[in-house]
Amino acid sequence: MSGPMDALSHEEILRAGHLACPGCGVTPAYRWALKVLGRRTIVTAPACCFAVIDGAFPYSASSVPFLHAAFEAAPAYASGVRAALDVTGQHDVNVLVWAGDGGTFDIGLQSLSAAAERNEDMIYVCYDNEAYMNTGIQRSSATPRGAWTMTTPAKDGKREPKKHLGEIMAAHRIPYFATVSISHPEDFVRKLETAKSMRGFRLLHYFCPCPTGWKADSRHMAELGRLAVETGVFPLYEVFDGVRTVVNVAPAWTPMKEYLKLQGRFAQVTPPEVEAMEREARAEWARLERRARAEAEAEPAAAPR
Amino acid sequence: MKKTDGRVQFETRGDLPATAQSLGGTSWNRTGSWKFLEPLYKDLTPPCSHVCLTGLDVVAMMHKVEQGDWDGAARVALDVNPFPAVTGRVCPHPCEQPCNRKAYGGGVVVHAVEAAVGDHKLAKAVRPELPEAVHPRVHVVGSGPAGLSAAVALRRLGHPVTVHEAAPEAGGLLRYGIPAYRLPTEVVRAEVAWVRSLGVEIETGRRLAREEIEALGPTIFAVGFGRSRPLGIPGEDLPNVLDGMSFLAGVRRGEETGLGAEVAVVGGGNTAMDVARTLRRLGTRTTVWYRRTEREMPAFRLEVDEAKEEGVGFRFLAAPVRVEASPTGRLLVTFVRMELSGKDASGRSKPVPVAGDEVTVEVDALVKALGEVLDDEVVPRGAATRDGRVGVAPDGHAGEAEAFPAGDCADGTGATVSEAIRGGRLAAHALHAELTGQAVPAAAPLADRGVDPAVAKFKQLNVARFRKEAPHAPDVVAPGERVASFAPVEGRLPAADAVAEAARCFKCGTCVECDVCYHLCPDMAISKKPGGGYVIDLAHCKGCGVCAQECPRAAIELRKST
Repeated sequence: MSGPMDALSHEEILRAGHLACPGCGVTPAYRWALKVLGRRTIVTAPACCFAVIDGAFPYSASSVPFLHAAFEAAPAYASGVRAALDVTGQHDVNVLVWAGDGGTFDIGLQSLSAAAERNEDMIYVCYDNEAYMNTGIQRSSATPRGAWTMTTPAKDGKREPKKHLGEIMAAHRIPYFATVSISHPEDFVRKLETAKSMRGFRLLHYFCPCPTGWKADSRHMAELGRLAVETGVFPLYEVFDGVRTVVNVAPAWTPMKEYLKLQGRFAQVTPPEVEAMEREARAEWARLERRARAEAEAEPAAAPR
Repeated sequence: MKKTDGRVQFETRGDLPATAQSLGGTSWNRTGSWKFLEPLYKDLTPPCSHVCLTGLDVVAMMHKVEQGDWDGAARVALDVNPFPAVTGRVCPHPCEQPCNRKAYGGGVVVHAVEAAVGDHKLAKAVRPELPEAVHPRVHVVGSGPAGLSAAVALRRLGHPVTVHEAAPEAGGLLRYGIPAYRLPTEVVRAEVAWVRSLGVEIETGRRLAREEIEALGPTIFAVGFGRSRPLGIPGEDLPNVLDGMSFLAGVRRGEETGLGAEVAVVGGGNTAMDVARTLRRLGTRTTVWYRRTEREMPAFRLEVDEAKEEGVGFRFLAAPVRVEASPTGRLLVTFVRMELSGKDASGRSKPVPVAGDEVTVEVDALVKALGEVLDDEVVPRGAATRDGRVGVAPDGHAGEAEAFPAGDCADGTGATVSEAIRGGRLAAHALHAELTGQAVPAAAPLADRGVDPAVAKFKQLNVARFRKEAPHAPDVVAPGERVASFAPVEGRLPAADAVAEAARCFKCGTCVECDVCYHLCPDMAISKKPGGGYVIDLAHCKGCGVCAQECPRAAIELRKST
């Protein structure tokens, strides 16, 4: 690889023996995050896959403090950790919230909104595997339209579109929001470094392939991330201060079916629905580009720091 | 509380912490027991190396160039081929045909990178490791590509070497056969100087008689071809009927300046193309007459295409039947029309004349380029010749003679400079074994680094991390400008372009330690070894297969877990 990946330490802070499923997308991301942030980091996680992955009592795969939080309250816990660190003068310690989509889009949304509004000094990574995987694949508001879950078993899968986390966070005018994918490690690590260099509330929305919950082959973990970016399902972009959008990777517009066919959760999707998904992806991309262009014209001064 | 192999055991209630907190890591948990599949680092054979006539580890050379290690790249080449500056220019580069990059932006221009590596070797005098010359002196007869290659190989094996060359300058076919627009004289001279710099003695300007060759003892016999095949038709002895190789040598010596306004060339091989293209550069209208069709021509495709671009005319399915002197002192050459019918011994369509269907043309000269044969007069006694070449026994000997044939004169050698170079090396090894009783292991750079013989195919690669950029190819001079001089048709690839082109090479089937597997492993089961390479921790690998799927170069295999 190149650039930021080559600069990563070869020292492992995350240890082997953790309990993630084979091919789980979350662990490489967590591993890179700890390598970027270093050992002076305190992690807080709500109930989520990673709360299990890290290990059951009395073990932890993370070599850094890892605070298990109640489902709805990880950002509140992390706010407390930050306050305690600051009051004891440990300003250099990074506070990292590591939360799934359930704890972010649904159950934890109020505490997330509150911490964002207070501009708490922390990095929040939402690893979005698009359902409650840990509890047995129930739909969340991050589940995309058309996907099968245990609670959307009807023949057409989930009917509602995915909630737009990026726009919610932009509305909070937080210093930094970015989307990241396992398929673009250099972009991923660069954005972590960008976040690390800033203060205040920073959120990375990580598209986290889940071979188990998506009924996919474990070896396609990174390929699923790549196809999500290439098809426009998950555009890679950054938003500074909620008002300055920068698009990082233009989709190659690989046919949607290439992405869907690797996943059993989309097996019931019909050709017209595939076309609708393509239209939606293109419309979303057009909106994103329009926003980026309009903001660049309106607020040229608010360029990325 | 006790910790055994990382596992915590609480022995009393008092061992329990006041709150739920972790007291140990997870490494004790051997998640490797979950797996059904397991990865294995296994390099596959790149398609280029698979077909390389010298056996070059093309990918290893490309990798060194990409890293800017030009000396290293030259040493990779030197392992099998002492003259990359030559082969980069004259080899028909079969390596480029199966290149997997063809389907993704365009095939890699291997030959131009090889030429750049060769030019670096010459400019910086990069040398192989040379042992002291402790073995008996050996002699090499002939200083063409096979002879020089054998000389270098023998010197590298610890022999003092003397090369004997009949012509005023060393280089053989490279100096007197291949035209300067394909292989500039200064490149040949630099290669010869480089060979001399290794301590090889080269004596030029005297043709050894058969008895002298026999008196040298065990010898590399690399005299090339001595004469052209005859046409076998009336009028062949007329003054302006020439032999192609002699004509080319005359031009290369600077003695031959032209054959008139219009010349016919008979033949369809590379010599015919070299003669025709040389004549165009001397301002002559030139037509190549060939008895089969374009499809059967043994010449390299590129040579035929470039000859056409340069205005060489072609007449197919026509064979000369007689030559007569015209009243004005020119030649009247009569050709009979041919038809293809059935197959001959070489598997090509057999041309048969159509009686009475003849055409006569008036030209200033006729050049024969029907192929060449050995000059029998120099062949040592005891050597068996067959169809104009010396037979080679499995141990490298020429029959009963103490000669080890190599290059064009050795039966079984292909028609390229690259094969002559390879043949020279193999003959040198056979001679060394004869003199010292020590067998030399065949140079097999891919096998030496444990490469699987299976060839890496495009569909096995993961090209997502490669950009679809176009090749960096050297400039080619426009046809109209080409025929004005003997300057090289193809320019040199600037070093920066060569590096960029080497970087474009996929390195199919070859681990270049790109770290994709290492960074993407979800289980920290792949770690970097201090001296390079990776080690897989099978006790923790869950067998997800991401490493093998994501490897850009198909250098990881997934196999059933045992």
